[in-house]
Amino acid sequence: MSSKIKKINIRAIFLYLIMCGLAIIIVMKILFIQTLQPQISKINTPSFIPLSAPRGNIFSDNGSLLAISMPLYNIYLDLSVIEENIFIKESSSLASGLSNLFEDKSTNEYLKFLKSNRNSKYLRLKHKVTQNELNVLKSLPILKLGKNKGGLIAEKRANRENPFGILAKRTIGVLRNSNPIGLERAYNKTLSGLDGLQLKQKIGKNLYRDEDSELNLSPQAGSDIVSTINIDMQDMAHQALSTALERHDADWGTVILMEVKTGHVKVIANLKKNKNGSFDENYNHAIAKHSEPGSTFKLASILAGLEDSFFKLSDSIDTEDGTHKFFDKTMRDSKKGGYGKITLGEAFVKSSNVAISKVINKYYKDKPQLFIDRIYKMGLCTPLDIELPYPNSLLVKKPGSNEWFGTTLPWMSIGYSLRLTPLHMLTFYNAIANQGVMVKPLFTSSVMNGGKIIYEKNIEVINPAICSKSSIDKILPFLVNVVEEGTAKSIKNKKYKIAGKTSTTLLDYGRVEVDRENYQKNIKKYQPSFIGFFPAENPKYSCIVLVNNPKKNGFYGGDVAAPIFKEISDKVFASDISLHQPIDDEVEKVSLPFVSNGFSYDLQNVLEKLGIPFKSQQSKWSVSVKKNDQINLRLRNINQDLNSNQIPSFYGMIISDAVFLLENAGLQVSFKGKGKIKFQSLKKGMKFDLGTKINLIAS
Amino acid sequence: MSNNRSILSVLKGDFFTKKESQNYFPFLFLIILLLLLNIRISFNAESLIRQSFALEKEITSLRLTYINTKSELMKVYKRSAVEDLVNAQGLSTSNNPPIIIDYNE
Repeated sequence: MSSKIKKINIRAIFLYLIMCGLAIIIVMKILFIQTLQPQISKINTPSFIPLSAPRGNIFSDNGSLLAISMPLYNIYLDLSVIEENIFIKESSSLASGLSNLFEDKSTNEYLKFLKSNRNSKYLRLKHKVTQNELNVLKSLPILKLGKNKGGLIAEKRANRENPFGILAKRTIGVLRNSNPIGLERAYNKTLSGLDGLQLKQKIGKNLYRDEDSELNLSPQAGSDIVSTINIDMQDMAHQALSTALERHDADWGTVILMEVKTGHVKVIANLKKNKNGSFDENYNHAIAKHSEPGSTFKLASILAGLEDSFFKLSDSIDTEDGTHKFFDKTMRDSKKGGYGKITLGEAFVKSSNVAISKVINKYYKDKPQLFIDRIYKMGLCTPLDIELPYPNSLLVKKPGSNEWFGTTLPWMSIGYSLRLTPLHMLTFYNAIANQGVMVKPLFTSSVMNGGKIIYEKNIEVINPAICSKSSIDKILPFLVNVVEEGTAKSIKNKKYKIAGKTSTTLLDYGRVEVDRENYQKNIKKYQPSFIGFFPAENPKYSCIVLVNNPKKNGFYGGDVAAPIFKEISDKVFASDISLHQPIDDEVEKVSLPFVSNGFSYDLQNVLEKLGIPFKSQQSKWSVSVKKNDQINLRLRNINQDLNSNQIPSFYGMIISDAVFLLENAGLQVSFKGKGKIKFQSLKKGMKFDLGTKINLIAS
Repeated sequence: MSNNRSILSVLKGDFFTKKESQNYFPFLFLIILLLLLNIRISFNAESLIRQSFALEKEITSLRLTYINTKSELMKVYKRSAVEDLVNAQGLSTSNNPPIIIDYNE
């Protein structure tokens, strides 16, 4: 018995020792991994994991989303995990669902696609799928079984969405590794926010537990940028430009619309023709394209002369036969034969190259630096320090330099021999509309965080007076006349007045001049433009429209650019409620009080004292009628009727007057009420005798 | 010899039968109870983390659905998109300014 117990004990001890040995091996292995294999031991060690801060959004001026972070998904299928009976039973329903969702293949095509890739473990289904599409995918037969049974693999990819597509795309911008652009680049730091750090302990697949640490740092979400762009106006301008570019078969075009007082850029549209003939926003011509402005620059030339008191707009200039030679080069007017002798103001309205260049050359030929200094003062030669990054290739030739010739000044005066951006020119015209105050064009108005404004931009004045107010007052009527009777009369309208200037810049002008005879007409390239502001009396918006190389349906600024301007200004004028007065106010201004019929002397006396305009005929008794903002007191033949024993009409007359007249004429009057007569018992024209009774009823 | 005996007694578990050791049993039970409680709490915490993770995932998904839907709404809300929709009914944007009636009570 004891030997048996002893045997059992030995076995138990042996087993016990084995267990102890195993425990020692496990402990040794743990120590080995902990000390010598950190790649394994650190898997479950708490570690700091970066937390990315959500990027801020970009809003339009009325809160519409212009740019927002919205991830997309690349969808793959692992068809090998789907059970055969499920695949056979539901693959056609899945194919139908995919066909309905993506609308790129028929149900049969999808079915064939699924069946032919039945064993694929990583089958590309679709890239750039949105969250809403993914939600639908997750509800489709088979795929709703999840990743392990349905084989749906959705790989998230970062994406910045522009809900309005190509509207103002270049200005909103793109953040990318090479050549980021627009507001996304300019405000990257503000939009990005600050990434955070969190100590986390891994407790399962894709599952972490937050651990406390002094080094934990919460991510700070990026701020939102509120841009000045008005998406409604942008859309209108985009449509107008796009239609016109197609109509004129142009290469590209740009539109900028700016608020005069604030410099807020409400519209910035850039469209360029693609190789396939469609138009896209792929270059910000508005801020980056430096080109010769042409005739729109004549405004600066005229203002320079007015500022220096060299001439008046009433001065007479001879445009000769429409040509004038400056050294070896000939200046030409667009009208063959010229305009004869005209005033300088008319020359501006008709955009005469000869007149403007002659007058500028006459007064500044010997002191060109004075002219350049004036142009500098008007802010046309200094880069605009705007928020958006853009290349600076401003070119204004300097007197005395190698590139300054005898012909430079006359050509510069009509907008050649210098290069400016459309935004630059608009900023200049905007200053004219703003009584000489040049404000910086702004693309953003505020920065918001958590729905609250944390920073608001103020108006930035570049130059409080680019020229004197008297010069502006002198030129303004002529800017209006350009539209009323000049080169842009095609856009004249009765609703509101537009002030502006057209331009038809001949591109590659130097080459054309050198070889004018051999230069083929069909290879001439023009760049029509129109810059203006409206309503001219109290400008709220300034706008530039520039079209490059139109090949059909005209090429003049008045035919190509001005109609686009008008299409935009009409819609803006109609939609901007602040440009219109409430109808009540207008009524109050012209409304006249009710004036009853009665004794002419009394009526005139009252109307005179109240200052109400009236017109009266010579008569004792009058009928009052409202006409054209005044009261007409018309002749009333009451006395004549009564003298010839005929009953006159007393309707509308004050009852006391009527009773007085009738009783004087010998009638017996009975009456009811007071005020104006609304009934008389004897009709007009009836004969009466002394003592005849008449009843009157007043209201 | 005495060493062998003590090892044997540990292996045999003789110390459990000693009366002095039995006095510590309640304490041992308490320790075991606390250990079990700790394990239970840990599992509970993990379960909460899993729930929280699932809810966070759902919130993210809902937020993205909201953003996506809002983005699609913006596309339809565009003036030209609305014009395209109503053009078939003969409607278009008016170029006539609005008549403003200011009503003061």
